Amino acid sequence: MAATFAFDRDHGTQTGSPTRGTTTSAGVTDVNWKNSDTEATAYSAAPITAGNNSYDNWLFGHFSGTYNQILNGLFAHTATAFGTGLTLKGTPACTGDGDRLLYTTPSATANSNLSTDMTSAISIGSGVAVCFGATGPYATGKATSITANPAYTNYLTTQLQTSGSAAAGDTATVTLTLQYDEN
Amino acid sequence: MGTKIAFCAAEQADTEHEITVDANGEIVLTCTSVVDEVACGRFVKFAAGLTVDQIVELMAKHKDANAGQVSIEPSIKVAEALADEKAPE
Repeated sequence: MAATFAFDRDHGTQTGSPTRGTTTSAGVTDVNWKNSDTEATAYSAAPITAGNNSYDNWLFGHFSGTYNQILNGLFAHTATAFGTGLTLKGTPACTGDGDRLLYTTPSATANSNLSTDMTSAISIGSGVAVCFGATGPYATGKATSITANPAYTNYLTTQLQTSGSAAAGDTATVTLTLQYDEN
Repeated sequence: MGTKIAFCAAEQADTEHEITVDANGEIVLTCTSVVDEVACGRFVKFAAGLTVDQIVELMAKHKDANAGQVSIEPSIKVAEALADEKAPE
């Protein structure tokens, strides 16, 4: 037997302590950087004007099913280049509670806490460390490995920032990878 | 508005960056290095309202966070060259 994995995403005004999104969308299959935080809004209906930024996207991993341990998490942009004038910023490395990113209400303001430049496709080995915990991506108790079930990664937040030289139309479809080991 | 030496995640080196302010008041540092006649153009944005000291601190965090990335581009080029290589006769 193996763990069951899904990407989920938080939305809406920050709430609670530690902060989390007002709503959670479960089982998301893609990340669309757009000028909206609403899950149901198509990216084509919320385009980013060149020079502006997308709303932050608060993705996270969710483990369930049968497993003994989840560990060695890494997150990176691993395939396909972005065009000119596009910068993808992402969550910093997480090794525990002290450096996990705390949820804030999504906006199109450049999120200075997203210190990882994910614009270039890199090897997953160069990805940022991901930590795991029980209860939710927002909860304390994050560590580099976990035996609790279900389990959640820290927030794998990204934001697409653009300059005036960004071309109109859809960006290339890129691949974001979450790699983990399972015992 | 001048230039600033900052870490470029694409070049994996400290390079000269042009400083501009965009229409939203966000401060943008854009890498001006040219490689193989192509301008790098990688940029880093800082939210409006930050002080100079805050931006300098964020620039240091930016370097720490992104130094050491291993691009897959060289492997892609090798793979493409390998596909084009003629089989020995």
